[in-house]
Amino acid sequence: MNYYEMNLNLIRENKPYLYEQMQKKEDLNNKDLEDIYTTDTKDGKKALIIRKDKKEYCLNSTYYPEREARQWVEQYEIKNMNTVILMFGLGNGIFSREIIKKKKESDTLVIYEPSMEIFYYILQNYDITDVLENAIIIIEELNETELNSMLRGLLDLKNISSQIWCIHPKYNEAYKINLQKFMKNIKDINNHEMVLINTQKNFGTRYITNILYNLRYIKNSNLAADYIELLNTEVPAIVVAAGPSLKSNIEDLKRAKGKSYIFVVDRILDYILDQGIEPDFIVTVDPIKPLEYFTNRTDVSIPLICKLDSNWEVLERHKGRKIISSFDYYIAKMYSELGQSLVAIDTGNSVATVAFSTCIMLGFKKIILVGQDLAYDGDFTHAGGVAEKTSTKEIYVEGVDGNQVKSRWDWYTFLRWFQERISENPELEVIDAKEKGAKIKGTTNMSLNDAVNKYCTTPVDIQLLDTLEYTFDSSKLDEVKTYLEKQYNELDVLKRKLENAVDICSKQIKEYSRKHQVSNMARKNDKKLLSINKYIKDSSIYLLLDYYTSAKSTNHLTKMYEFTDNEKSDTIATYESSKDIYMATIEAIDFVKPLMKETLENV
Amino acid sequence: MEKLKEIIKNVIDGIEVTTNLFYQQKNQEGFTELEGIIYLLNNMTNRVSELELEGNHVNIDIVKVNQILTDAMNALENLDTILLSDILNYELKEVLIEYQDSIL
Repeated sequence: MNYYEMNLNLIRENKPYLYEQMQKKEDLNNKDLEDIYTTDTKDGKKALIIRKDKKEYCLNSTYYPEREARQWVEQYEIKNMNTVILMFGLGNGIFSREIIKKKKESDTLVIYEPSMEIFYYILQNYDITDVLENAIIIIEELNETELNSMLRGLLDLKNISSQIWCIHPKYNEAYKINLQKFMKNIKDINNHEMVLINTQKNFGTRYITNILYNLRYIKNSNLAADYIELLNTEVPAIVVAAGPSLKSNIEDLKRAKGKSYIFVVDRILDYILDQGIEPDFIVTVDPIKPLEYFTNRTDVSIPLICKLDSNWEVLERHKGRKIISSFDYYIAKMYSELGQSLVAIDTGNSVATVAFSTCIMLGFKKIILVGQDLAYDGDFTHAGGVAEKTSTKEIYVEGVDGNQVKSRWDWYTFLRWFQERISENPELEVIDAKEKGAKIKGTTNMSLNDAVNKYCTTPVDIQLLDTLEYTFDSSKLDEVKTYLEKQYNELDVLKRKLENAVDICSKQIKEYSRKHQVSNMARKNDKKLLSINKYIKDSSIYLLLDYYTSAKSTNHLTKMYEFTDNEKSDTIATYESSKDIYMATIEAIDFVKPLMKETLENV
Repeated sequence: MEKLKEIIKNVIDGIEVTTNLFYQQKNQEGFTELEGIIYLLNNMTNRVSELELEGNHVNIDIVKVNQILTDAMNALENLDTILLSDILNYELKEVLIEYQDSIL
């Protein structure tokens, strides 16, 4: 078996999406280089040389390439747990191999290679099976769409600040522009994740209140995926957001009614209803949303696409069917254990992005965006003459007319989100129906008038949607109640174990402060803590308590993953942080218990 | 001779620090350190000349050193800091260590 076959076999087994993309590409040898070759080094190894833009780059030392790589990797300390290491440039694998040797099992190496030609050459001429097995490989123009969602899955509160970003030597010169784009992308992803993490930190207890209060609605609810069979996905979905351009699209939106499925974000609901348009779905997401940003009406029964951690006040005011489109871990586990298969969606950070993702999940082939300005119209930020004041940083982006338009940082993150989703779904046609505002790459810009004339020609039977049976019938609801009762009963057991864990931590801190050597008692205590930790982790209610604990213990959680060179003080610090986290979890139980009791009375 | 030994030791130490910086892509710091090595190399060649004039035989192959430095300069002109580091580390440093060993 030659190198190419060996490497390809591994990709086929371990990296299915990359393999699939490689099969789809007609010519992997996409020539961005004038030349690429290997030369022997003084110590009998191989150095990779490329010629690009009339300049030669030797990507390894021609003397001792492995020694060079070892010296290069010395600058990186990978002390913390679950570290994400992002490396720009694969080369011939020598440098990445040194990272792999240095990292722990819990750390993740992501290698981004900007050149398909280099990648293809390496597959043919080097055995990089060890690198392929131990790193995530992203190749520009092949599977780069995986990078963002994959990174979002890897980064969390505990490891976002311990990331390591490194560049294969010479790649910063040979692929300067690709590197700039890559770093910008990584920074954007990090900013996006920080927003999510800060949201969770700030709204921890509110998430719990929302979830437990909203559980009473699952008896009259559906999963969004339940609608897949009922919808005619050949007609367009129209996602109506609250941008200023919506005002000029009202008449065309009226014409689209009945020949499309209209999804309206919560903020613009009253405005749309006031114009005489009844949407087919409303979408809400935020855990804390002023009711005036939903509706002042008390009789709204249009189906509401939401999450169970959406604002309980909004769900209470809404009088119709709730459609659950996305899930936090706690709800996802509950549904899964009750036999419901869930379809995860990428929610983005806004109501409109949730609406968009839901439409993709439902299988719509055409989505028309209305009011998705993502830019100011003069001073106006929203339809209805609203000029919202905000401290969000202002930036300028390309407009649909090719000129720069004033936007905001948060709108820019939504813009990038739309562009990524559109590039991940090449079969999806997205029409951006606005005459001004930020350009969303990958969309077709046309007036709503033209879009309705062209695409909204087939009537749809909206009444059919009312015939859908709820996800949980009465026998299933009994199972839900039993599930929640079990969790309620578990709270006291968990609390006792946590109190014991706090006590053990105090003893360990005393022990390690006094002694230099680990005693048998200390070892036994560690085993007890491991056992308690396992119990906590296996407990399904813990996923709910974690909202509270994470919010309260951000610093302690981060510190637990950080290590210095002093083992003794690291150990004591770990017990101190653990103790604080256990105590925060006890507080969480005291917070959750009365709310859960109320939930059981109402489910 | 003692003074030459000390200069050579400083050059060797300087090479290790400088090349390490270049291998780690810390080019700005590397160039700063490189200035120091160039200064020391200048001192070294001056000292060798002085010693030769005084009738002392200095067992450094200056022709070889000059050739190595020419190669190093070519690498520097091409901004190939890795090749420069390799030449300093595995060519120049070796000659200097050989000389050091011969006078110990």
